[in-house]
Amino acid sequence: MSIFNDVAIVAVAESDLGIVPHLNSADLMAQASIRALKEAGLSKHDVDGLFSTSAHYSMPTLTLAEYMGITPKYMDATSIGGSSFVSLVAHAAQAISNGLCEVALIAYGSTQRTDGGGLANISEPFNHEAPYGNFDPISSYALVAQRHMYEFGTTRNQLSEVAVAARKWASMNSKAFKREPLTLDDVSNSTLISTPLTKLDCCLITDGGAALVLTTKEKAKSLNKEPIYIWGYGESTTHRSIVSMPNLVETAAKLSGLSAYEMAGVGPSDIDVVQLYDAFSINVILFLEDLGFCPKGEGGSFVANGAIAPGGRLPVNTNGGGLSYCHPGMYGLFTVIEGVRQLRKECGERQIDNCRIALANGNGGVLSSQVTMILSNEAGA
Amino acid sequence: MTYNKPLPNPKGISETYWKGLKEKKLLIQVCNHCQEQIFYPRILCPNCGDEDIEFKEHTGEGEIYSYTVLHKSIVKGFSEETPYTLALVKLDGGNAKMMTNIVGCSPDTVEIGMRVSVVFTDVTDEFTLPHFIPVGGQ
Ligand SMILES: [Zn+2]
Repeated sequence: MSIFNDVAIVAVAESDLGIVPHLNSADLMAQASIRALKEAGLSKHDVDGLFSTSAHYSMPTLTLAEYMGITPKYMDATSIGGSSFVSLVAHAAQAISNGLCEVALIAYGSTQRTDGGGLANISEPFNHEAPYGNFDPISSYALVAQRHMYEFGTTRNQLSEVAVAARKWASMNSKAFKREPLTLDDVSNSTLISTPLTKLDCCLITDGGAALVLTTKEKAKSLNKEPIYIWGYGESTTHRSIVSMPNLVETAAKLSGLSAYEMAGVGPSDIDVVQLYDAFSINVILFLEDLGFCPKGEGGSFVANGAIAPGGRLPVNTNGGGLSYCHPGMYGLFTVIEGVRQLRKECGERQIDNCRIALANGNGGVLSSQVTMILSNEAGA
Repeated sequence: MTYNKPLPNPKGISETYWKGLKEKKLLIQVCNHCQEQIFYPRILCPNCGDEDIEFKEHTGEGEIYSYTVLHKSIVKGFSEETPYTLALVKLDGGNAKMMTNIVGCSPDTVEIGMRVSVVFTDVTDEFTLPHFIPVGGQ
């Protein structure tokens, strides 16, 4: 049974996305926050819980509180990489159910594109990686992809299928950064960076922000939007550096997924739409396996022939994902936002029919932390 | 010519490992309780939790667990040396893996499962790096 039954997600929003040179990271956080609060019919005066983390600000909830003029009763700035924001949604829900706050604002913003194109990175250099020219993070993911191909026969074309499916979904999302058609050969033949990964196996580097508001199930009744409920949640980590990943072809999503399914009382076959943190194409293949959508090793054949693209057997990353929609450094919150919008049936051309249960999975570090959340438009039993 | 690639900044337990390299020894910790190989150096065994662990000289042999050939790189000193091979080598006798470069062979001859052995590359007066070459290789 979900421990979050008394809580609802009542608003989601993005800031301006893509290339936003006239705003800084805090501006983007605040812009997304205002949009989310307006969507719910709330104002900043209603917010008493603040949640954020950042590669730009050392004390991000203080930055956000000061900027917006909010004096919170409760704050959390969990830092577990790109998955942090899925984690923060659950931490906020927990704070609300425990009475520590009533209206929780979760906000993110990053100008990593405008700042120079490199991934905003606060990672400390690692003595046992840096001297060998590890191109962080792509080479760590490349080591995983190479091992997956070796153990299971996963092919170059199967990696490309992930990026092509994302692009097809993005073509139906007016907010997506890349919408022009893409072929398997385009991906396979794009600039080779770290074998087997090419440039188009890598997520975008964009500016952008996002915000999400949670409150009590009771208070949600008086707000503008259909409330969305958290049925299940789980998180774990297997390593910090790729050197210490116990098994390169199995991520902590196996553990976080089991926890989330158990809390929700559902399994993979009950999920209507899946949002996975696709920092690199290989991620989607790994997470589909680890979250039980196919047996270990069969992720490559699972995604083949457009199976996760529009009209395929399982809708994955219906916003276009980090590969084609946006990726401002920490993508985690965007997986939850798309899950919420699908459950509210707001997705227009890309809307999934009869969408009742969504799964969002955040990834942090180099496949290091995994956070799984199961959402529904029906209140948990 | 000055060496312009990233160097380690060892502090604490790891200093023993880096000093060993300087003397052309690959010192890998082994747990006296569960026999687990431990890499990178720590003050306890991450497998069983025991603190009775010690540095032992390793043969420097193992096999390639995974690798990637960098055709583009933004790492200082490496960006002008592409293509180069970054690998995870699984050391014989346990589960420890270490990151390294495979040297002394063309990147396109590297394969997962290939047997490799350590070579000690003095990169500065202070630091020696453990690189690996194919066993019986060039
Ligand atoms: Zn031990």
